[in-house]
Amino acid sequence: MRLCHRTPALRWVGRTVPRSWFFKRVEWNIAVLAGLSGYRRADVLAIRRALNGNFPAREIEAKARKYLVYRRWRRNLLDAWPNWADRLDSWCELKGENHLTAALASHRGAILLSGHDFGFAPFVSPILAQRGLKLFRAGMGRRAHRMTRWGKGAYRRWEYLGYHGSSWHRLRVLHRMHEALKAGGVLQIEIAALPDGDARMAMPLCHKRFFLDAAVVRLLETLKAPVLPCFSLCDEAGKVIVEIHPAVPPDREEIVRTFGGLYADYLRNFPECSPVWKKLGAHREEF
Amino acid sequence: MEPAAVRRRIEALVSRLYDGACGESAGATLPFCAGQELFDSVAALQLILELEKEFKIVVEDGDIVPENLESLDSLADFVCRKIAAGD
Repeated sequence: MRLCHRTPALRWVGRTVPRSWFFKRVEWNIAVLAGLSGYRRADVLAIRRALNGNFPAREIEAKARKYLVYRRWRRNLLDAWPNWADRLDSWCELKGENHLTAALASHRGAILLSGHDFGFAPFVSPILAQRGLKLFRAGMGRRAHRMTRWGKGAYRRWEYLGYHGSSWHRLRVLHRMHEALKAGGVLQIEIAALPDGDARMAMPLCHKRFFLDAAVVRLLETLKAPVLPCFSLCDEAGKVIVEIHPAVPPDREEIVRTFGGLYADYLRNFPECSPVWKKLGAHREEF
Repeated sequence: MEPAAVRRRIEALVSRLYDGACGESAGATLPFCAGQELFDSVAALQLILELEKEFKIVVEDGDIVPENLESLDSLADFVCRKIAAGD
């Protein structure tokens, strides 16, 4: 798939072959890899352990397999999407765009808050930028590395605000986030689910608890822009589905209650979309 | 505005933001940058935003350096310079 989309002479192949075929190929690959070589066994075991007792055994196996498929599919899409940028409707669906429009009408910008590394979060910025919005994505990656990873394509750019670096660099990045929002931009931030943390950040999950990153919640309170929970999933044929929820006031209690509740629901209903289980399992025995 | 008045207002602001944890001496490091490990960038951002509001100045990316924001003294100097420059 990488060859089809990255090699100029073969790009037409990538554009001609339907997305669902590429997705099927990933499913077959994973079926073979997982069956023969115990591919990413530690991840699968972590999911099985975490979900044990919450789903029937057969469903847990299906979810563990889906987890592997989605990770591989996400990696493939990173290569493929610039080639498909001009035909968004063929590989993604955006739900709740009206909530974002309503939030932007307040002229304070808008923050799209996703669970860290949940589902297909890296595609939220490209999809919305392609729709003409002024997009900023904050993360710990190095800017140059992130931008080259997306390849050269005729698609609209978004700005990556790399948080990685010295304390003063981080402060400058936070200030740039504030400026971006003041200018009516849309900022995408991800928040981690931690095994331990401040009790006020706790969320219930599958009869256990985990915690939202308190520093990110404080940042959201400081930035004072409306916060829209945003989660991206994948359907049975590899189509990316971005769901934007109504705005939450930038207040700790509201964020923990509303976003935390949604995040816990998504993790419970789509555990295959999150790599969080391995980390939680490593720190907390009950997971 | 008098530098002494600017300093007093900044001192009050810092005390309010950091629960009275303002440096004992004039040149003391501000609470958010007590060290590389303890640097609290969100607290520092809160202070910058409050300074912008309080003194009607615009802090640029290039202004965010230790020389301007590390201590109460350097902060007061920085704000005075900004006010004088009409930023």
